[in-house]
Amino acid sequence: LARFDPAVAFARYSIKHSCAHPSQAQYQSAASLLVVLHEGSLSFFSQQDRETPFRLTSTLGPIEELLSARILLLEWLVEEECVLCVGEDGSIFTVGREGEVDVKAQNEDGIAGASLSPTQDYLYLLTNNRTLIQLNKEFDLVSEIPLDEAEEVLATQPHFSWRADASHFVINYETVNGHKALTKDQMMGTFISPARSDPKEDGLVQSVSERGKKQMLGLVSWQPSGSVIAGVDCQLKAGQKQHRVIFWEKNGLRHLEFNLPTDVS
Amino acid sequence: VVDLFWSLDSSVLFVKVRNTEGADWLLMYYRANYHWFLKNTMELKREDICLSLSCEKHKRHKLLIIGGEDFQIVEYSIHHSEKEWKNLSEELKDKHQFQYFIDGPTLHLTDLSKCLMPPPLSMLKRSFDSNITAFSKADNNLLIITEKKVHLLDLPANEIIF
Repeated sequence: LARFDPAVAFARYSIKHSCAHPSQAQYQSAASLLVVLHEGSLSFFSQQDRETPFRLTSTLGPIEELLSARILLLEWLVEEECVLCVGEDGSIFTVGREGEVDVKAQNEDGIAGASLSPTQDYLYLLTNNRTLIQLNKEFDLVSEIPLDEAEEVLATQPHFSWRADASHFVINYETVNGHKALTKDQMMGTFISPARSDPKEDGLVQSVSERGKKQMLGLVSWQPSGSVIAGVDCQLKAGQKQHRVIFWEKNGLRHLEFNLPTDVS
Repeated sequence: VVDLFWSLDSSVLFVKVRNTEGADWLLMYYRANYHWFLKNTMELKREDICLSLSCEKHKRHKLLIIGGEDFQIVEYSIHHSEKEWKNLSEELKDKHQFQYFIDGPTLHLTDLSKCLMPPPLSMLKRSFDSNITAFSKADNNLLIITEKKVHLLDLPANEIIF
């Protein structure tokens, strides 16, 4: 038997640059490229390999389309070699390395949240009229479903998180009864487990909850190599709020949790 | 709670939080033995964006913190120190663990490295002429004080023979 005593060693160094007020950033490991959105401009930083420091290769902008609405999604498209941007106003466009803007689509209802699958095959949008939309690489509509027929969905920004193999994703959104986190497959079917839920919950386990939970907060993150999904909830203990990180499987089965420091607001 | 994300190898969970004073902190949690441990904390500026980076060489992991004026790259590595684990009986095997108890004029001694015998049982016992008031052992000597006499006994090396 061996007793593991993990220790974590840290080193910290900084590289000077100027990206005033960065609002979005994305690192594309396949291209060793970092894209930073700051005040309507895009800065590109690259590495020769993963061991070398980032170097600023170019800065584009300010670009009008990036200034006109809050950008919800920023992703470097590896095959097309351009940046995909999704704006809160429903605009979907790409920005090339020379700054050329190509408008791909426009959703009239406006967009509450967006996510690109890890394989970059599909783009998922939650519109402000609570519809979940799936677009393909050509930005053509593949599928469109109401996100929730049981409860009214609020127009707050949802959080998406993908399983590393791109087969499933979890979407955490707010309803009038609180937050819900649903596990969906790539074709937007809700994952239904054969396991039975708690008798008080009734029916089959579909995800973390069949009903919105007041205690649950909006964050969600799928463990890259594992089957566990992390989220956050907030319990009232002795009149004080206690934030916790909670874990569950894609079928909603809860696993462990831990308390965050009590001074977390 | 502002953000929640994993390291790319799934070993570390990062939680970005805002405390009641409005300061942002990055908390780094590591799981071992079915328990989550807070391993490190870093103060962040409000606009800092954190990204996990992959890094394969020397099992070093990287966290990129993008601020307004600089990138901070935090390198961290997780070491597992492996120790040979022994259970209690194995630990005791190599050394004598004498336990004693006194029952009036009778001294009971047990070497726990050889057998686990709880009172009132004992491995060895010896009765004296009157009630025992004190007992001490140092190296191979036993000091027993009774109401009438003081007994000093020499023992053979690593043995208890009355």
